[in-house]
Amino acid sequence: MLKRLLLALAMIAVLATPAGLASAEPVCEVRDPQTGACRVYAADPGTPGGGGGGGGGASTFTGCVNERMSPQPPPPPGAENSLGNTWVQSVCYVAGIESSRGPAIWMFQLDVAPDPRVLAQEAISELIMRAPTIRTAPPQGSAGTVVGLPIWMWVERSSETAGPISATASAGAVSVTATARVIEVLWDLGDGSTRVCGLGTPYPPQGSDRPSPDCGYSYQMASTNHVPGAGPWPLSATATWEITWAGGGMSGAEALELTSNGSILIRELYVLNGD
Amino acid sequence: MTRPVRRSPPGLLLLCLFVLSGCSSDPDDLASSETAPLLAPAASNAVDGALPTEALSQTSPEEQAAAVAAVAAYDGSWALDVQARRDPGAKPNWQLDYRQYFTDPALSVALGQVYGMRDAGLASPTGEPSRDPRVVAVDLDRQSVEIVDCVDFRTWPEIFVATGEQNSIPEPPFVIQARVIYDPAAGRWLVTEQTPHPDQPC
Repeated sequence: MLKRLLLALAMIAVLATPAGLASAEPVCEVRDPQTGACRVYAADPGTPGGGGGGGGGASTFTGCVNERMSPQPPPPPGAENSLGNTWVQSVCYVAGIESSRGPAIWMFQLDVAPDPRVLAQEAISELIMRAPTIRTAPPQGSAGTVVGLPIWMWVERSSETAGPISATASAGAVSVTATARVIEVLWDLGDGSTRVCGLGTPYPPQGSDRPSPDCGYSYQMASTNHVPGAGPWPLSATATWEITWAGGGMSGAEALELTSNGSILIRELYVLNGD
Repeated sequence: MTRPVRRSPPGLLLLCLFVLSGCSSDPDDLASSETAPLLAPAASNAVDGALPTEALSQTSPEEQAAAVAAVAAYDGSWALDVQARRDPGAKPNWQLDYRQYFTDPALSVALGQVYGMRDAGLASPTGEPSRDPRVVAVDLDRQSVEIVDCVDFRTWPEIFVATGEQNSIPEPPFVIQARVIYDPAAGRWLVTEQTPHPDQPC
């Protein structure tokens, strides 16, 4: 009899436990992330303003960084004039994928660990990338050439028009280096044709009777017959820059396209009648 | 954030100073007590940060100093947390206090909890947790000390201030793992990671 009474009391005690109802060992669903203590009610404040998006390219970063919240929620009451403070969140990643986002914290800016993605954008902004300098043989502006003869196309090999170039941005102990180079050039020949090339091979100074080994074209129509005013075919060369960055445990890649325009005069080939 | 226990990379000067005795922590590299504990579990109770000298006989003076300083910082972090959680609204801004003992990511988590408790009307006005911290590894190259603690929160209840209703649910003590690093810029040891393991009673 006494045993039954004790058993009943024990069951009541278990059922009265806030975290568990049916099990003698209830699973705690809310914990203090710092101490691990089990709670009925989580004390985590909301995350005002939401958070920034992910992105930033492929990454295998695993760890946590403090990220500035964007947009910034208003300062807490009484802290409107506290210079240097900002709302941040501790954002944790597992293999580059955001795994958790901590509460909003009003924090002195110097405590903000730099976000490698922000540094990457700073480094990329330091890179001087210019549209390609178009070169052709025969050259633009010359008397041009005639239908059926090979044209050589290439772009100038300077660091600013072809790369590779690199720049580094640092904040605290974190450095991110961005490197950029042209990986392909898309030529629009103006007559409806396009060619995808690399930088192309410069026409040799001593001349050549061969077509370009990697980036050439032979017009089949004379610009003088198809372009109003008997003008040249419009040319364009679009360089695709591959921009990669790495540092701070993260990495990423971006692409940028820059286009230059030109023209080349193609005349009809007249065959003299020998009669 | 939960993190796996860091393995000791080969070739590093990573010294296991002592291991858990009685706590069932990570069975792989924390609780493998084949060797006798080198340090007594009295780090947090040491007077003036001193550790029992006989327990330190197999460690270098530099490792001893690092362990003592790291445990002092870790103890300081708990003392501050107990003070702050007693009345989270006592200060509008706790960051200067917490920056004395924490650095990110632990700093953000700790501050977030104090502010969260303040906003939610929670506090732990009485008591303090019962703890038993032990240094398990010192990495002088990285200026990093790993601590495994056995914490009992039953002596440190969290309540809703307005009603007195208890928000914490009593549980048996469990393992908390912490990493304390030396910040040359700050010139002191700071808790950088604090990972509770509620699934590891001790």
